[in-house]
Amino acid sequence: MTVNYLLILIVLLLFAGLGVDAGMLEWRYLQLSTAARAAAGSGAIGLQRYGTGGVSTSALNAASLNGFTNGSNGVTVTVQNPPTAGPYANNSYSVRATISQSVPTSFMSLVAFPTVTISSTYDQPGATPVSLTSVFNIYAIFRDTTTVTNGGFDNQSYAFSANALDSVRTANNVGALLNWRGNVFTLGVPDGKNGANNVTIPLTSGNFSQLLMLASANYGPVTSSFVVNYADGSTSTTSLTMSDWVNIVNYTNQVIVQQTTYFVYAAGGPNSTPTAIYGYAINLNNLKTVSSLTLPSTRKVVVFAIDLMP
Amino acid sequence: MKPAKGQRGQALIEFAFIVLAMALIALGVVDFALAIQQGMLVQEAATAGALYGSFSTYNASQTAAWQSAATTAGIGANGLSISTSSFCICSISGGTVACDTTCSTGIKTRLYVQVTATSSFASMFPYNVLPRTFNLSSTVVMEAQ
Repeated sequence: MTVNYLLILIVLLLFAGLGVDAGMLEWRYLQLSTAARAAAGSGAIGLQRYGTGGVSTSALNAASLNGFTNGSNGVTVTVQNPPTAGPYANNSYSVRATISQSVPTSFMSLVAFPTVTISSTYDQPGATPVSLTSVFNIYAIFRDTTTVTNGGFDNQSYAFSANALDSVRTANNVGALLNWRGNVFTLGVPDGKNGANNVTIPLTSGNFSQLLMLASANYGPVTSSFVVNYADGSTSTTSLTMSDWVNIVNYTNQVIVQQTTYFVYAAGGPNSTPTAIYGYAINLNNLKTVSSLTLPSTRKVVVFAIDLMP
Repeated sequence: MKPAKGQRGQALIEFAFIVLAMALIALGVVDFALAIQQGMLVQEAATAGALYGSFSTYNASQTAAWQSAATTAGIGANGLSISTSSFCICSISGGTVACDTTCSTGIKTRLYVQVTATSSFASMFPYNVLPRTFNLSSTVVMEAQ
């Protein structure tokens, strides 16, 4: 009888050990998944800021910052741009990061599993930027040292402060860099035409699921229609409620992408009233090829940047 | 065949022994499962905070909001504490720099948000080989720009 009891005890111990190892692996997998997400996101940012040469180093660094260094402790980090598989396969702006780790086990090693390899993949959708340079028609962003001219953002000679939006880029006389949903948006150069209003914007031809837009409204809030034109001649209209640029109100169809502590105006100098640039997402029919976006015919709505999501 | 009186006593002792051993194993497994569950909550809290902070330029400046997002995601973790920070670099191989540094003409720093979640776990039963109370901690870093 004693032998039977001992055998039962050993079997129970092994099952308990299996549970312990499975729990540890599950926990590790969660950490690994987070690191893969950070790696893919950082890779996409590296791509947008530094080109294809920035993808791998950015992703590997992010994985390492989260405890998974390629080539160390059985960790392998694989970065693909464009991904060869997955939801964004062959999309040159997207990044796929896969992290694998060979994890030593405690109890499972007693039954011929000294290590178990766990792996997680994350696909970061990369946005296709749309150049608005040719359609910019509003002088919306000025440096603090420049007098606001041509009506400014609101047609009353008030404008966004380039210094407040991005002091480093402004010091180099280039447009601000803003991030939203892992995408880097580059605004127009300060002191010139850097906002689009009441125009039809040509979009990068292709099939996309969403259009991301940085914009703001003056004398708002404003509810207006944005019309997406497809190559087959069809259109889709999206109504958006947009908060005023200084009277900041949260609406469900918008997020604050950047908030500044002041604006600039023609009479001179900054005014300590907060302003905001908002993000808006317009759903697209990804079975159709996009052609252009027609902005609402009101002076109140000004668009700063657009990205197209796969 | 009826067992002898001595055999019945021995079986009873063996049964008691095995029940005790099973109970100890079960308690250990339960304690371990609770620790793992709490560890995963801590990980999810740190992840939620870092994702919130890296979501937009504006969010990156709202550290109290990352903390709130992390705390919400970690509800249930005992004594959860959240710490937030951010740092900037010019190059992957270089060290941290002030975030308003101009790395080179027109090139601004890379901004990372970091969230650390820590929770205290107390086992239901004392185990001589392990401390009764210990901290579970997780740090997540995500690039915000």
